[in-house]
Amino acid sequence: MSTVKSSALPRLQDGVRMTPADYKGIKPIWCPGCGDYGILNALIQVLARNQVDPARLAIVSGIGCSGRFPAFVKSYGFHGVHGRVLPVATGLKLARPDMTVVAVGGDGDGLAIGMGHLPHAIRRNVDITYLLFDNHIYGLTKGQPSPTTEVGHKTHASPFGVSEYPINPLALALVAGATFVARGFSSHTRHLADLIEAALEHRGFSFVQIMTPCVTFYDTYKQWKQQAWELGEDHDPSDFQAALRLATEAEGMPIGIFYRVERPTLMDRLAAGAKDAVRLQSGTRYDREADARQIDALLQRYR
Amino acid sequence: MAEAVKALTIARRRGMTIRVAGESGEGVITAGEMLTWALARAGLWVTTFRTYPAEIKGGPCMFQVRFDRKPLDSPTGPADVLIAFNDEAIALHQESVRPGGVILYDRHDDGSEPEGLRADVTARAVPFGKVALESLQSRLAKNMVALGATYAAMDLPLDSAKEFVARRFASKGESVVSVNVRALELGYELAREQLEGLGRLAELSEVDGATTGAADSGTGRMVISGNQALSIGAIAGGCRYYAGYPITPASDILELMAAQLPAFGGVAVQTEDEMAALASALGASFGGVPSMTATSGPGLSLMVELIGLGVMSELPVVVVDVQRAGPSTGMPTKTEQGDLNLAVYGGHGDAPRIVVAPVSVADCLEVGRRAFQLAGRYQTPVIVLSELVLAQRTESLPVPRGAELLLEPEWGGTGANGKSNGALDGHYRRYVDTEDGISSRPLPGDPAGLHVITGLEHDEYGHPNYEPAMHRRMSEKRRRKLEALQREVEADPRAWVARFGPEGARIGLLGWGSTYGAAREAAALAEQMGIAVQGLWVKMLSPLPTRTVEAFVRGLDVVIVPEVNASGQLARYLEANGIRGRIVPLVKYEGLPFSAEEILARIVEVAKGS
Repeated sequence: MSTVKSSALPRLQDGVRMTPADYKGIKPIWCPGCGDYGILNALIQVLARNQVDPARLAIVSGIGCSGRFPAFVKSYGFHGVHGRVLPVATGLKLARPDMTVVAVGGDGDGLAIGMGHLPHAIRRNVDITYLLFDNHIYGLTKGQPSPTTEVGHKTHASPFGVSEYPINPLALALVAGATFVARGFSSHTRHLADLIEAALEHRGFSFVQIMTPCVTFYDTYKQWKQQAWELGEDHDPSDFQAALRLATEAEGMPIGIFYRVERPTLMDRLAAGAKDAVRLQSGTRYDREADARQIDALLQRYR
Repeated sequence: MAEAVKALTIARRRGMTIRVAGESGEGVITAGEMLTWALARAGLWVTTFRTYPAEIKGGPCMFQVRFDRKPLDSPTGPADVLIAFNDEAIALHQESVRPGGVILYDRHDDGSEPEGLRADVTARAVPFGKVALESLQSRLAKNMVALGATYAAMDLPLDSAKEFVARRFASKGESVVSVNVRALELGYELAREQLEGLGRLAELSEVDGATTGAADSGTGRMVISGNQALSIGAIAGGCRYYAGYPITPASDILELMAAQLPAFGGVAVQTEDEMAALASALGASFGGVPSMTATSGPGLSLMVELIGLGVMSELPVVVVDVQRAGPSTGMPTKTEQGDLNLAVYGGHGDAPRIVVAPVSVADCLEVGRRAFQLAGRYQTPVIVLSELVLAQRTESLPVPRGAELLLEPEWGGTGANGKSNGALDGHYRRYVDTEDGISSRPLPGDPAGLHVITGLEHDEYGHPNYEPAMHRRMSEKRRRKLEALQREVEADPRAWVARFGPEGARIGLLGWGSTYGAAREAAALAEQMGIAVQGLWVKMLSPLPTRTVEAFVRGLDVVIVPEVNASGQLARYLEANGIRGRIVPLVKYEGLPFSAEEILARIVEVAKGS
């Protein structure tokens, strides 16, 4: 996989060094064996190898097993409500373009209650990374089917088997216009770390579906280990049709970068559209004199 | 009795009122706005009221402008002049014309007369439409012809109207401007010829001291709506992030913010729904940027879970609810004060939040700016309860100076709230318990302040914690912040209550929001009848300054509480807050605001009965 380095990630000052252990927050509370540990380890690896400044990293989450993620990483964190992780992350990024913003959420959080926000976050191409923890089940509420659970799968809430067809998150992200679309698997931690790193460095909305088995309510380890295969050099991530074919027709479970393209971000477009783009910055730097003049000018319109 | 009140209201009424009515699409609103602006330019104080249909085209619509040499409290009440663009407008609005008033209406092309015209008014047919069609090849210009006629009848110089037309239609090109100017002139000439001998308008305006000759130039004033004032106030208060979803009657806040925020270094986005709007505002707030969303009732219902998140995670944010009528989608273009319960109590669990309500257009500016200071200082959502009639009402106001409007929003960061750094073992105590419940709030980017905020119950670090003592303690911390604000308001209530009337009065009026204007006017009229009335309008609804309210009620024999809702939400809220006294609710739920007359009628009843 190509790992194009950029200066997008906020680095620690020279002379300060952090080990992977230093990036750990409080002790995770997930079930032993949960796939989410793999995601946490992968992210921490990325942070450590890039010496990311934790003060300029914010992790935003919704509700569910993934919701606790921000507390397990030493950074700024926002654990919100069910399904609203992308709007929170969008507001934070627009307000603070200097921050690296990572949104995390499960298949229930992001594809059920929060589904309405996904295509909109994508079409805005806001510069955030969205890690979708996909275990095909509702874990924290003890095993009901999620929007990605296979047809026919029996749970307490689907005693005759799931009746609905699952959502295909990758195809969805692609047709909605995401500029970075990838899939990782929590058991392939090193591969996943590279994916997350590429996603963080991508300028624009990065969508990463991460297959992460739930050992307690729907253990898919064995199945996914057999199905997973890494995309090779023969896949061209700039080829949209190839990416879409992979997302919809591939045998097994391909992992890697499906699609990657550069496009202006929401902030780029807002700045270009605003007449006084010089001052469009957010991050609230007040200038009393300029602001007072601007308000006076605004009031003049009503004279 | 009611007749006597009516007669007095009319006889003692200050200023003059012109009502323009017609079908949506006939230029009623444009004509009304133009009249408003021109009158303000002529040095008069103006206040307006409009009703319009929810349909995009069609349906009856009305614009009323009231003006005087001194500032007015309320735009409602009987009209001195009705300008009717069609027969339906006469049928709908002639009842609102005071006896002795004037109706100018569009003459039928066949010369026939509209049916059922009142005998106690002077009605004059002027061929607005015909003149517009014959001379300008466009019946659409009839609003300008009618305006020209009104100007002539009132002896107003046409220059200000022409200036308005030039400004309003500048973007539509020279020919549109000249057609409209010509229409104004034709109407002016027409009236000079045909209204000769009428003399009523000029006479009325003379009697009420509303002619323009002696008034000041008026150039030190602006004409601004409640929504515009609220938006500008918000920017002056520090707002630099705005997210909203279009909804009547809050949409023009989104439009103003989208156009203006970039020049202040801020960002505005139209989100996919109301939840996204408030969620993103909370995200921006977490980042340290003062943020706001505005919506109306249905949108506020959707935001309720996120208001709870703001309370629990102790994030400041400003949520404007421009109230409209009814539950569900109700009546989007009609007014009501129906969201007090939702604003104060809406949501699950105990979620104390700040709720404030402006009482006038000028107050929209003031409350808009101070809402940010409150939110930032107390680290909690502030709900601003505006109303359709406040949002859309335009008023002439002195132009404030930008430098004087600016306020520091205190939105967190180093040294926030003067509290010490709660860092311990590399973890920041974001929710460190303090006497007033307010903790310091470092912002992302500060290496010493790393923390995670959460909507789960948590300890001082923000770590989830469900222990009985912790929930108790943190619930108290959140409530204590509001108690601190309550004390602050009680110590100097002037900023958050509006009082009027003589202190010794035994009858009181107590209310919130837009009813202030009509109530103040009613009290002034009552005084002329020999009935002393004093009023208290509460702008800080949560936390309620109970001591101030209690002291007011205790000094009175009876308190009338006018509210534009069916259930008397404030009256019940007062009771829930332990306010005891003889409280008489006065409710109106027709989608329309109170007039001074309606409140006066109840004052008179109470005065006789008690």
